[in-house]
Amino acid sequence: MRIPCPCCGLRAMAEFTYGGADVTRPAAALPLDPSAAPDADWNDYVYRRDNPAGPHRELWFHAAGCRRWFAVTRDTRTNAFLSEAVA
Amino acid sequence: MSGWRAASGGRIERSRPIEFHFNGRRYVGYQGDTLASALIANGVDLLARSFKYHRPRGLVAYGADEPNALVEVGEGARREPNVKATQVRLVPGLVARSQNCWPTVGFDLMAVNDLIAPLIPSGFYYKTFKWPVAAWPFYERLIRRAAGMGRAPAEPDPDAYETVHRHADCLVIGGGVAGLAAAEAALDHAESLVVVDALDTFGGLGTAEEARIDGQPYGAWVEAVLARLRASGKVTLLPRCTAYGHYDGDQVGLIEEVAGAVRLRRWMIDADRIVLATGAFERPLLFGANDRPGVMLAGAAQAYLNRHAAVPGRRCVLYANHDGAYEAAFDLQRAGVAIAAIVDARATVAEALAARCRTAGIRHLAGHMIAQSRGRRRVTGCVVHPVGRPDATVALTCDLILTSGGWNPAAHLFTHSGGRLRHDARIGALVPDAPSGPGGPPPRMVAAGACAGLFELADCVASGRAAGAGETVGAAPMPSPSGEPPVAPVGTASKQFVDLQNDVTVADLGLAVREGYRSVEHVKRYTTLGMGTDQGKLIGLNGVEIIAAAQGKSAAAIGNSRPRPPFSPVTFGAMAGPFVGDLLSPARTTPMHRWHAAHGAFFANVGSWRRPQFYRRPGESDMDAVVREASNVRRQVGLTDVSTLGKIDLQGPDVARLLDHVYVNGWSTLQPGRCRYGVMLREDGAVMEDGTTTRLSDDRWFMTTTTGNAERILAHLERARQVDLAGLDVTITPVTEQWGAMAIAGPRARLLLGALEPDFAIDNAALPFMSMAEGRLAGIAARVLRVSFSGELAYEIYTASGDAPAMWAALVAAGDAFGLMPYGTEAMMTMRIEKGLFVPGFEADGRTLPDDLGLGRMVSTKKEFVGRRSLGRSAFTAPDRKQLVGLMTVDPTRSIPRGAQIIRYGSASLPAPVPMDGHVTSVAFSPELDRWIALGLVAGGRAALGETRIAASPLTNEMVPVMLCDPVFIDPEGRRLRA
Repeated sequence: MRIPCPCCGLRAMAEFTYGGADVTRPAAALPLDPSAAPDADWNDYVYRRDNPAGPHRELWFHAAGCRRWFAVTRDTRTNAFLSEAVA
Repeated sequence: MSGWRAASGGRIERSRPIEFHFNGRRYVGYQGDTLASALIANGVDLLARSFKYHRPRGLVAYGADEPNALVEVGEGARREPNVKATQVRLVPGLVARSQNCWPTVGFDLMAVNDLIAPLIPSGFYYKTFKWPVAAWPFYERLIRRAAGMGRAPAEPDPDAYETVHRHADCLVIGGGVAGLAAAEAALDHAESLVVVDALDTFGGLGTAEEARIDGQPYGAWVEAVLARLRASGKVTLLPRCTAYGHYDGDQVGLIEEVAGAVRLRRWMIDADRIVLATGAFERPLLFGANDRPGVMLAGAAQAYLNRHAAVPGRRCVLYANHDGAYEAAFDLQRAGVAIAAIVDARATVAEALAARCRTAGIRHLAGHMIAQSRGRRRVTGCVVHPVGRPDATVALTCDLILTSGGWNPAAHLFTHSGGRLRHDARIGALVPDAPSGPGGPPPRMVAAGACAGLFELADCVASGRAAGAGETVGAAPMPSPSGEPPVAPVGTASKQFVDLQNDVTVADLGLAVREGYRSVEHVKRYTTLGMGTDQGKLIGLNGVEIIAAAQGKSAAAIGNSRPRPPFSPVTFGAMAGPFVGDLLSPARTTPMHRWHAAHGAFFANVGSWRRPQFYRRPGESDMDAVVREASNVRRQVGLTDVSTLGKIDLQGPDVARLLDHVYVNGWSTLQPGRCRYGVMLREDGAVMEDGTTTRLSDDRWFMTTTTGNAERILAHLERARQVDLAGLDVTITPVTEQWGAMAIAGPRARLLLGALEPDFAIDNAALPFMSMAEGRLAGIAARVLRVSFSGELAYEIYTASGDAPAMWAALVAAGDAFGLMPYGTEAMMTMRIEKGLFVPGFEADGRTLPDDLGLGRMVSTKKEFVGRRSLGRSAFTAPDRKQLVGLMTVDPTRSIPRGAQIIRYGSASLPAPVPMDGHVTSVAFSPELDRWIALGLVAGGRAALGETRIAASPLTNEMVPVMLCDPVFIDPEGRRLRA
């Protein structure tokens, strides 16, 4: 399997580390107050992940290469990368 | 003794005889023979005993589909079990043996199983050896000994293996007509092609010599295509190469037989397009005792004759249900074999074909089936009757029965990574289904030729060209030429073997269905149908149709079982490749490695690093050495190699913001020249890492990480910089390899440092605890951090890697005057346990929060950081969380069992499971306290200091009373650190 790095082009999967689903980190409200960010939002961000049979937006890290983190859409049924990667 | 060698013909080189041994006897074959063809030519027809009933078995097939002829090849360390005789090329001095028989294949004592066969039906082992449950290991040993599938060699493998990774625009698996047509067509679309075939030569097996393609004779066409492929410079042709698996991401694993220094080469090929042109396997027709030596596939007999001039009998009956099979009989007749009859299951056969039989003087029995073979160790005849009239039998005399029930695509690789097979009743075959629905990505694997269910030569060429050109190949195979679906009648005789390798009969499948198994996959597992090393390549549709019929359903309705990798067995050596011994995993060594090795170091594997564990002196035990080294640090001064620490250089105006994000504590206030200890969390709040980061100047920082976390923390920092905080002006550079590092620790460390004549001040005011200085030390450029992992006055000295051995040598030379001794990781661990310092992986085990480790006050409440929000969750603030405590045995002479569970007094008498209060994380003998101590995580531990618990270790049968205490056993005020 080869992965499209936005910096290096198609490279062997062994050069990459998988970074999980591309989820947005909830912004922290300052001053920091645990009650300010609802538990549910944070819970979703930390623990809940969709497990689609189909397109999946996810992060990869080109660890043995340019060290770029990037998001890309992969079809989990075929491992085909569907979109151009974005940094 | 029925097989013989035709006087002419075949592709063997008769001028090059090859001597070989089989079952201790000497035989002669020719260059170009396989073990199978040479055995046929030598008249050897008993090759093996069957797996369960130990019935005599001979050759059935020509290639990877052979179920019977499993042999051991080679001797000593090179002995390889479970090899198919059909896949062994004859080489001088080859030694092969039958397996699964004792004492000999001719006289096998276990053949008694055949007589008691009615007593051991499918599921016999499950039904019989159930009770008592505890006796199963005993039964299993007996069963395994009785079954046995060859013997693995006990010696290390002396051969060399290679692994090659390749990318190709197009990979063509199978170099027959369809594959070659695909490769040629792909030349216009691909820059790199790999074309593989399991045989020595390209061109395939399924095409008659006199056939014509594009107006050229078949052989000339093959040569012309190969010449064009070679001339293109784009194509790698790999004969003797078998694709064994298709994996995620369209990676195909292949094994190439290499003649030379390397025995096998494993290829892992990533291909953008994969053309599967693997041809088809012939389907046998079933009848009673269809496993007797002398029963063979028609196409196999034809291939042995045409390729090797090896003729498997003298008087033959052909049993078939399609026109193509007749050619085998005609070929054999031309070679001098008497054809006793052609038995055709079809009621009507085309007149032209019937006329050919008449012209050839062959008895033609249309609408007939074979009920039963006759003979003992070799076919001597068969009983035939009209389909549907089992009473009107005809007896035929023969020593060879050829069967052909049509062809089934060799589409195994198609299913390995998700593809489905579809039952096509028109051709009586399981063919690759259209792989993905509308809107899905285009399939990368395309079947062509016979593998796609296309059996006419012109269709093979056309489908190959389409597949090679990247076009979608219509998944609509041609109907059989007669237009009628094939018939494969199954009689009522006993011992009709569907799976020859695992001895599964028609009756076994019926029994499984009567016992309630419905799904093909379940019947398969219950009866072991198709679970042998041949993966049931011969079974194909026969099994599906019988299981369907027993349920009164159509074959299409019950689906089919899915073959998985490997397509044919792969030897362990090929999987391991060159990565054995020292190459198993790369070892990282520090710049001082040679010094350590020369000074008695015992090395430990820490991640991929080799680190000195301790330096044992003559007469010392391991423990003595560790105690001496640790004591010496506490009393004088020690030197240890810390080059393995992860080192990261951080530059830019926004470094403090990045550190604020990844560490629980604050960083913007840190002054240049100062170090700070920091702890990193995961987003779920668990402690991931701790380490020291130093501010070298306003915009330049130097981070150290724990040895095992270096790569992970680098990725974590990059992710924070690029994803979470995109836009920060920070440059992150891993410099682990660039810096050698060593620590000196102990009350005399400053004296030692001074002896190296630093050109910078090192007194306590100029270089206090948690500060940094740069300059020259022993004339070498160095960076010195005053940090401590032992609780003593200590300095970490960093130099360029190349200078590190010289710095180390200078310290050793100067250290003599101060009682310097090197110390290893064991002494380091002892001292950090004495100081109550946690280590990721031990105390921080992925569930531990900062407060659990007593670091609650370190956590900033003024800023956001990774994991902060999780710390506020209610379960994370509960008072009964497991907290870091020290543990001392109540009896100071006793040790604490490693990995022990902490339980309360009296709880051992409670019903199991006994409630666990916590567990021991690290144990050491403390030279300073002269007793065993430990760190542990204990529920509500901090509130229970002074209480006693039991360290219970059921594995070592120990119950040791321990007292909970503060985890900092030594110098809790930190006076030594700051001295």
